[in-house]
Amino acid sequence: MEGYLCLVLHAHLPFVRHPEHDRFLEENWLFEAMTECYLPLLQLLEKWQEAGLAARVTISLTPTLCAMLRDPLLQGRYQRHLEELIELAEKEALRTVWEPRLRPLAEFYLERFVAARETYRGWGGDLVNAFRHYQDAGRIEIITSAATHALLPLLANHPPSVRAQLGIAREDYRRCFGRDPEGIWLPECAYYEGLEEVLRLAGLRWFITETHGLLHARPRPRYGPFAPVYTRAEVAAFARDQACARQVWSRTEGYPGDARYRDFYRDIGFDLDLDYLRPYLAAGGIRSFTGIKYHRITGGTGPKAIYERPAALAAVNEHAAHFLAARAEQAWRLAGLLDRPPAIVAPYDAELFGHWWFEGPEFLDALVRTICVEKQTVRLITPGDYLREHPTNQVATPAASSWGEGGGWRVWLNEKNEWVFRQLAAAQLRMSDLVRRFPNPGPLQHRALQQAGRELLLAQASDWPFILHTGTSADYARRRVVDHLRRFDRLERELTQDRVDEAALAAVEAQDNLFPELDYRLWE
Amino acid sequence: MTECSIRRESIGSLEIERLIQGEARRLAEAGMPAAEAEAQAAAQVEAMLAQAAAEPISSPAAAAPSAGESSRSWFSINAELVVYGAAGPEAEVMIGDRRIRLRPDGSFSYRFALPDGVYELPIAATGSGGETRRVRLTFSRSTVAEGEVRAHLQDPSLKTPAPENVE
Repeated sequence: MEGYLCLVLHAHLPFVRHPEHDRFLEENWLFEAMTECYLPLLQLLEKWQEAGLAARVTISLTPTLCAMLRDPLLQGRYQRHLEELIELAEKEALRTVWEPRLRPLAEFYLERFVAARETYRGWGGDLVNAFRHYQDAGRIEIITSAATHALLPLLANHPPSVRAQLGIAREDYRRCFGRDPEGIWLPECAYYEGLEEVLRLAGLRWFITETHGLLHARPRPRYGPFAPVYTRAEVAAFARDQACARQVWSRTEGYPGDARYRDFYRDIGFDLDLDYLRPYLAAGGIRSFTGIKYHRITGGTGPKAIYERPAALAAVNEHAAHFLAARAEQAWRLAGLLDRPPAIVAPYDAELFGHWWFEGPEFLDALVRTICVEKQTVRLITPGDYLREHPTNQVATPAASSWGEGGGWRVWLNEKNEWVFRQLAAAQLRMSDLVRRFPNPGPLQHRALQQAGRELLLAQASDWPFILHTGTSADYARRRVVDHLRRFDRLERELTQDRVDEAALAAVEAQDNLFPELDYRLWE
Repeated sequence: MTECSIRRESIGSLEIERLIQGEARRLAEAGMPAAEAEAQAAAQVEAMLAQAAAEPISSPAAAAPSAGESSRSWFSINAELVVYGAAGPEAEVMIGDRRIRLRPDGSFSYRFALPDGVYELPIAATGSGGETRRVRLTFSRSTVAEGEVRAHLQDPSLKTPAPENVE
């Protein structure tokens, strides 16, 4: 064994739940990720367990994602979504009966969706419990993230907000997984000096920074990004490996752009007659992605060619072998430089695998199986396991960093979205004031304080400034920030004026219903 | 909310979109001067960073329909036929080799893509008493086109997001 590979899949979606609408387009973010990413991932874990493979991978499940996956309303809506998808696939299997190159694909999708339903039903619709099962069985390590995926460096000037994001995440993890989290996925890999103290107070032992977070650490780490460092708070920092990232994203080396892989954009939702599709479109009969796609990337500017599954699977095997060979070469080049095998940390968005890169789960399967069978090149390990095997590490303070453009915060703080943080800064101070003003709240005041905390947390999500920055779905992001801050304002006003409207409070509690046991005192 | 803005947001793989569009620039900006590197391992990584910065990075999106398509005149035509009918609610209806779903009232309606050619469609309904009724439908289509005619509708505005929209 020449090196360790820490495969980290970061699963996150912002909290999107709209009981006030029967169908809501943005709820499909969750449903598509469940069908295309999370359920296939669970199917992989099941197969690896059956095969007895020591496939130790790390999965971060953010608290907002866990809240949605456990929510009965969204579970029911997902079942409806999946049933409709299966019905559409059944119709496609008939509609393409005289299209010999499409029909096998239509049947392939039908089988895939039916299998997703079986997996979903097999876990009683509770995917959080499913992932917990694999952690309890020692197959995976699940880590947490900030409560609503807030960009923590932008909260650093209000320490109670950072404490609340981390403390509430820890409590939520306990409720979901029945134990304390050891590791945390820092939202957007965003680290600032001093964060490690708050992480330590939250009982967390390690996190991952972007590569330059360790390369610029003080003192400079002897082993660069290939071994963790301990911060002075005794929380370990691992660094993302750039070669692993590049092999997924590079135009020349990147795997998902291979012409044999399925095209993401060519979807029957944009190809077929609108009358036929309308019952299956997300909202308002507007054309959108259905998930049924018959073409491959193809390359060039000509028409897209029909997707050929065997060719795509051949590409998967080639790419998995290439990835592993690259790790072997990396480990070999580093062998004389380290006093231990290098720790190569490869974190990816979980939603890459299956959604953007349709064959991503098959790539993971091929990679993991090869690693576990040949046992010579690298060993899959979680950062937590690594620290148990190598408890002695250099002490250093990482540099402020993120994996965003420029390596800092400008994606989330620029002229398009800076208004969010001005509003948040004011609300955060008022939240702490509220906590001080109500040291012994009555039951209704207690509920109002909890809900004020929920609204503030939801407004702090890094997703909204990101969407505002990109300009896509900006109206929705703006509305979300404004809605949560308005709800916070009203609750604060009602608390300070001692006239909490219980009916209105109950309505907001029913809508933004995550973190049922939220401890608002963390903002003290 | 416009159709365009809705279409662009599929799932919240926001980091992915950002990575696709921003990785090359970010890697370049995050890189370190080699002279500052103390450890050889670190220097090695910097070389990797420099290599990454020197090449463009993209996703499958790079192969999506080009923006120029929307400004070009085009025409597409397709033909589908609808087969609809009804049977007793307990009946099993087969179209070809596939059992179909009936609505609660026993009715059904299915579409079939009809490319050029001659096709037969066998349909059978087996009632609760076990008796089977069969039909065999025959269809044909032939197309004569002048000029460039496409076979698919594919919305021409569906394209790779412009960099200014994702960075």
